[in-house]
Amino acid sequence: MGRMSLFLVLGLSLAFGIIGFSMRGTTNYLVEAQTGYSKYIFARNLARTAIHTTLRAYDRSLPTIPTSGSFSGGSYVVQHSEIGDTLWITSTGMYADSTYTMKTKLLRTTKPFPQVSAAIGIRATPVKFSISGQAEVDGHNWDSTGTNLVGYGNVPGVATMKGSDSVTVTKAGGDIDGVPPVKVDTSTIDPLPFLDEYKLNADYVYNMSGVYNSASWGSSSNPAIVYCNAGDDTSFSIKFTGNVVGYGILVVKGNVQFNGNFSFYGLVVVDGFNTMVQFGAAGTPQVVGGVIVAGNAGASVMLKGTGSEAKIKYSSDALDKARRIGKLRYYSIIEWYE
Amino acid sequence: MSSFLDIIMSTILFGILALTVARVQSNINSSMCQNQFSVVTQTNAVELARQIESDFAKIGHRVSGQKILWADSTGIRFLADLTNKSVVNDVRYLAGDTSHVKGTSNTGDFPLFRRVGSQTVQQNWGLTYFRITYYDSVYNRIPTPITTPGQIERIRAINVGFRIESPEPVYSYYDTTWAAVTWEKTIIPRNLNNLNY
Repeated sequence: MGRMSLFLVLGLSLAFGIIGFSMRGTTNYLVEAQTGYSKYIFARNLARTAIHTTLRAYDRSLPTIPTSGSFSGGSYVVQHSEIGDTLWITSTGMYADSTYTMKTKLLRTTKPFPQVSAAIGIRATPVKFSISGQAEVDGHNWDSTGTNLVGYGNVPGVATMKGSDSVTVTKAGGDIDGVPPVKVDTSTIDPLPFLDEYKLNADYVYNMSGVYNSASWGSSSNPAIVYCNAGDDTSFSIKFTGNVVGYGILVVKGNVQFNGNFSFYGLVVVDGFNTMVQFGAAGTPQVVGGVIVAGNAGASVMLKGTGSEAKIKYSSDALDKARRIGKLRYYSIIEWYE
Repeated sequence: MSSFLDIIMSTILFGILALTVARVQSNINSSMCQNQFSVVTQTNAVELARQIESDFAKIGHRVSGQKILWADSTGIRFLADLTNKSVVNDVRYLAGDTSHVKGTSNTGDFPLFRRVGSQTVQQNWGLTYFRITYYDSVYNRIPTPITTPGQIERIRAINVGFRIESPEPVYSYYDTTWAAVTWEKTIIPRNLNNLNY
């Protein structure tokens, strides 16, 4: 009887042991299935993150695009190449024992841009225009540095919305050059729809009225966005003097005065109410690219100067560089395989 | 007399022990069944989810022209280079009906037919619900069936939802409790030109 009881207990123990092992195995299999899917999802998210990270590096014109990284316990590697505006990016996300690869072909595109088809495009009306001293507006197409003429792509010096404004500008005399010097062009784009995006993406913001000098905004290879909110008063609430050099897009809401050794290469947008733009007599302020003067009502453009160089030179190259600011670009998908 | 009582008592105790063991064995079997059905349904759900994600993410890859050929709430036909070898595949997904699955106790399950080119595979995942919903570029739902090329071109995002149940009841043959998993995801096929980065 005692021996039988021993066998019975041993037999039961063995049976329960087998059953328990089997149940644990089933549970383990269930956990593996779930965690396997979780790891797969994580690896995929890492691969996608890698593509985003690479594109942001392109946006910021980083000298070296990162080819690997890690995030929250996982890692990724990226291979990229480019020809012109076409990018090829292959990213692999790795998490635990899961990997996920994405192969993409993207077209780097520029967003719509408020093109100006003159050295000064005046969209506001009526216009008050005066030019004196050695101030000059030149619609001939200069290179991005304003040093050499390109030889083609010349535009009017000043474009207005109405014939009466064109007459006003012409009567002002002065050194306005271009093909033709003054023209009525109603196609000058209203920059207002673009300004919010420029404000959101601005690298430099001036929200206080005042006098600003000794500033450096971006570079020729990495242009920037500058946003100045001068308000709608009638005084010169934003005034640039001294050594100010900038590249990219300069937006001024309100009135602005450029003085001293102010040099800007790219697009200048002045928008507001009865906007007043003045290039002062002191120093040699200049814009290489184009200027759009817009507003809810009229505008006043006053150019003075003692310098021998033109105050405003049209440059399609400088405008193109402004258009290609990394933050203002986006990527269209040509192919996406995952 | 004493040994006779011992025999009777030991028989009673053995009987009680045997009944207890049988009861425990029954409970264990039931738990194992539940676990097994849970494993099967969840594994099926994971596999089907991965298959759908993999296929739907490739919709339109290396396809010029119309990328989705027809779209309905229970099926879709699209073109895609599934293997990235410059060979465009004609892919169809279509939910069957309950008459296509006769070997299970679950009267609500139906198969999913996946066809690539001319090869059709009947997949018996244990689906009891399968629904595809389509959205345009601003995530407005497009009513199904979507038949005209103009409507089909508006598709930018695809929501897929399904429910998988075990083929047999969890507890007993007469029970109507099924192990079940529900999955839903909105997939934005990158090759449908909705996203810009």
